Amino acid sequence: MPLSEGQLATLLALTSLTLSIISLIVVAFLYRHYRIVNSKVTLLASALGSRAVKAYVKTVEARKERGERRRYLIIRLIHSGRLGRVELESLLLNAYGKLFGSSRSSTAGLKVMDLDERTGTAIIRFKAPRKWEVLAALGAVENLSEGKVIAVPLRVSGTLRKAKEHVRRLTRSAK
Amino acid sequence: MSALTLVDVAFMGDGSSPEEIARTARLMGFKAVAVDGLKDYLRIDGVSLIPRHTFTDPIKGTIPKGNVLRVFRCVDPEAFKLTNKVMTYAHAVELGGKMLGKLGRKNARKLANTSVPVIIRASEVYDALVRGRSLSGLATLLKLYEAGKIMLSMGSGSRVVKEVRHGITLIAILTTLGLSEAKALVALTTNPKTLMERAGYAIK
Repeated sequence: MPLSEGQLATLLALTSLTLSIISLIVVAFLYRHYRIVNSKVTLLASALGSRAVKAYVKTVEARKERGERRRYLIIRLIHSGRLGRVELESLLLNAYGKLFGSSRSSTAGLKVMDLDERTGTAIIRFKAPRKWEVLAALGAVENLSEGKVIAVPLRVSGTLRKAKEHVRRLTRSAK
Repeated sequence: MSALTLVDVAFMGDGSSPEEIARTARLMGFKAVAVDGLKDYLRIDGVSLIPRHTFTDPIKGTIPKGNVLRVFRCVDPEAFKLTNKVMTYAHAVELGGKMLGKLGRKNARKLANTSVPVIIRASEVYDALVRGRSLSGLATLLKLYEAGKIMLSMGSGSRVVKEVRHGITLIAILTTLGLSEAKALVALTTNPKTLMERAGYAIK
């Protein structure tokens, strides 16, 4: 049944009213979100301007420049006789010092984090930019121990947790 | 630690059994080892053992024929003579001893002009470093290699199985001596493979 002119006009008016109501709701919703985001951005900007945050950002940037990110090297040791954590650390530092000088060895951040005497695996911490130097020093361990200790590099990890996981996997597979 | 095809071009066999050499090579990441004094090619536990013959006299001495990696070893700058015999039979020249301390400009030029492959032993390099001896000859060699004028390979140079170092350690020592990482890697992978191919062995 065709609609009369009056009915059509009413329908058009109702549609436009509905559309305008919807757009009003959308605008109100967006405005509310804009206010929330704006307040958060203002808060963040004021926080970034604070002295504590500035100092923190500066420290992070300086650390990046110095390249102080740490790495964890997993090694397998083949040795005759007893070899403890302290002995291994001193042997490594000695080897590093012989090759690159003692001043450099003191800034390499070399430390034996973990030594499993049963499986002969150890985790060594060092500063990331010294990776090749630490690996080269592993070769000198053989010279200094007169062949009594052989260190085989297995993997370099970014975190101690992952390094320990890898060692656990190695231990499980060895069983 | 490595999925690379690392090749050791200088294992100075001391009478250790081939099985023991192969086991150590596998542990240290090597897939092929040139063993001095080995009679025939062997493949044990996925490791290729290739016979190697070292001669020190560039004029006299017998040289075995067949598929053997023939290496002329020179330890004295005065005795460094690239005679016809060396150029015809030797696959590479191994420099060690005093040559690592002082190569000399004349010898460096000879090496660059003849483009003969050069082998150095890691054991000698470590020994010199630990004892604090000069390595200016080696520095010259590395400069030539970095400039692409010579082909350099590094072998472990071990006399006993216990002395074999991991391939990554050898790459690390070359890197710390001033080579770029890429060139150091090539000195342990591509260049030794090329040498083995020249000797008649294809390493995959």
